[in-house]
Amino acid sequence: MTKNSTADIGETTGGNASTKTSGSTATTKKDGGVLYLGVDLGTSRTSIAASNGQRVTISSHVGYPKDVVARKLLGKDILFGDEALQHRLSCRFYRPLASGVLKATSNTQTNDVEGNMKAAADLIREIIRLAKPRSDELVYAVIGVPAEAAIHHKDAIIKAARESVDSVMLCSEPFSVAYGLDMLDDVLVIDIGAGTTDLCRMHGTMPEESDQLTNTYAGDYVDNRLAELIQKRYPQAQFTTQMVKEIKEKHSNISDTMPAVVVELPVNGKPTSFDVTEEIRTACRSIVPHMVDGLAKLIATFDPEFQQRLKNRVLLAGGGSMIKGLDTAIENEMRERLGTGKVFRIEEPVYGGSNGALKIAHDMPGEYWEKLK
Amino acid sequence: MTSDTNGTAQRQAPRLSITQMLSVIRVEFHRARTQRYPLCCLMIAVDGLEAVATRDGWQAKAASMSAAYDLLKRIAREHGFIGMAVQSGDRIMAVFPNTATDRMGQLGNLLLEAGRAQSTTSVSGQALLFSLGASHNLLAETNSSFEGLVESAGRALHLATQGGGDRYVMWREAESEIEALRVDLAAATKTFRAEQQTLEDEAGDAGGLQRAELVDKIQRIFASVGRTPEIEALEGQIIELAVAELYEERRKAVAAQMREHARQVDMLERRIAKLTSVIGVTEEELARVMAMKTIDPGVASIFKTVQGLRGDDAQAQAKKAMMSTIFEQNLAFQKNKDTLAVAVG
Ligand SMILES: Nc1ncnc2c1ncn2[C@@H]1O[C@H](COP(=O)(O)OP(=O)(O)OP(=O)(O)O)[C@@H](O)[C@H]1O
Ligand SMILES: [Mg+2]
Repeated sequence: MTKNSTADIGETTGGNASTKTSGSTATTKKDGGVLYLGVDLGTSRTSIAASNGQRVTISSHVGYPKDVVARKLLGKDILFGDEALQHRLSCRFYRPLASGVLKATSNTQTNDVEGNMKAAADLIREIIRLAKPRSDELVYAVIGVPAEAAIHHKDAIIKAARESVDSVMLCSEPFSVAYGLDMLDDVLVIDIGAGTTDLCRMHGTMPEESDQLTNTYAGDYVDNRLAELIQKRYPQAQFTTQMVKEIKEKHSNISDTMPAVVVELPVNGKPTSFDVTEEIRTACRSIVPHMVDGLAKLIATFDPEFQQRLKNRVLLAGGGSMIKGLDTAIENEMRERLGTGKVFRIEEPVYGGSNGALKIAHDMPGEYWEKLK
Repeated sequence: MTSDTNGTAQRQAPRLSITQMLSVIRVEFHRARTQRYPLCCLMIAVDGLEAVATRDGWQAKAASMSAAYDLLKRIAREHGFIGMAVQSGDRIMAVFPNTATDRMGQLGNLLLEAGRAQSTTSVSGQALLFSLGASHNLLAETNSSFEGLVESAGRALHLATQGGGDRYVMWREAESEIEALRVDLAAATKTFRAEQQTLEDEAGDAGGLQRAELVDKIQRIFASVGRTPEIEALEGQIIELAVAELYEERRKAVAAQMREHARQVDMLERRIAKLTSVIGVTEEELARVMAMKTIDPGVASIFKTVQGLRGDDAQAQAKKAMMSTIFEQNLAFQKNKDTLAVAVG
């Protein structure tokens, strides 16, 4: 009487990442309006800003339950963001945009390239889904990607996005931050992410390769420094990189007058208090000289007439820029080495990239979108 | 309950990792299979967990889950249910060897009641509402593999959640059969629709070939007799009549076929309806589960038409040039990719 049916009716609670196919998109009549999407695909965080008012950010993690049992327990086929991180032990876990995976210039970490590409694609589908597009709308997306993302990864990104949108364009990440703030002329943008810090010089036209610099003195570097310093001073303390990162994000500060930071870390399983004020200051400060190195290079190769103006228009963006006192510290270092410097923070470091990408999408003429369909 | 593997530090029972725990459960499953005793799997989710987390922070989620776990442990112990449970994420899975379906149903209802009663007994003063999905090892698909058992419990849990939560659903033959019937029905409807189309097309020109043959025959007969205007008129009338007759024959055959299809579909639907009433979920609830999708219509954009740069923008010229560069780069890249794909494929 019973049939060994394979219809998978139990699988429903998860993100329905693969339910919208390009086929169904093509056949739906799109006369409901035009939805623009701006996406910031970061190593540690992926954000979207949309012209329907939706703004969402999730950490760039993707997990696939290892087996049927894990899948049933977790109740989903794919986990995203912090949820994936939390359950990484029962999942095949990916940080699909981490350096070495999507970035061509870093060490080739060739293991499971396929898996990472699929994870990247699923992440893109998910973030677009979270913006709640309507099926009767034309959807146009601009995706900010690291300037040095490899060609085949860009291809994977475009393919994945196409499944959920009608037309898509990629654009370099620091550029979209500047565009979003209307700062197109004589500005230096510093986008401090997790894996990389991207510097970009704007001079009224589209920045070229010579206008951009990338280094790896960014959030992850600070985490590693901080872990080293704590380990050195308190060898008995037990902690993971994730814990260190959380401590940093809560207390990051480099001003001389920063309040004392006392945190609890386990010693043989027992929570114990440690003063890590000096360690945090030192670790956060460690990126400043490298940043000013980059600034100096981009300034020195600029039209001498406008160098002064450039020095006074430095823009800090990205999650890593949320370190308290960072603007002043960079200004001080610039004054010492370059004579002068003025640093501004952007108001919304988390949405700087996606807001800018959204603005680009909005300003893009309709016929360009049409041609890329 | 023998153990937990939640991983939270404060439990004092002997602790196994989730993996170890699952292999113990697997062993139990296979023993039940070879020694032929009943075994049930129970999948537990706390209703409204997301809302709790949104309201009280993510710690509240963990707290609810461990309250659920403790409750399961207490109720099972008080009422003599012996089993094993693991908690991971938003689910608890428990397996009870030597437990028949009716006993399982008792435990399910005890848990639901105890959860509801938490509003008066717990510190938080909040009721714990559960969705419970259970399966037993007596169906082909639940007996042959542990995965099948867990899978079925998951389906039952989904039925419970979709039905609004605060309920217990056991995945039994009825559910299993309904699922099979649904698949049959969908397949039948699909073939019938295709067949119907061909039949209608054929009927539309009265079986093209047949008609041509018939007309041919009549004309041949009339060719052998002398032709007068009356005979020619008669020939016309006979052809007309014969073709009309042929139409009618086809129409009747098609109609009969359609009636047969309708009858089969109707029968399948009635069996589904009957089984549905047996398991106590409404047809709509079931249909919703089968449809598998939570349809979210989305949020409308503020734009009805394509925008483009405003002419009065202070930096319109520079921006226009930038838009054009971004487009050109993307065109070159995306076009190039297409040609590559063609060349390779
Ligand atoms: N309050 C904070 N203080 C210091 N650092 C922070 C703070 N909040 C977040 N960060 C750090 O910012 C980094 C993430 O920044 P962001 O989200 O801009 O990176 P991303 O765009 O994902 O990475 P990338 O640009 O390298 O691809 C992380 O290293 C994170 O620890
Ligand atoms: Mg970034």
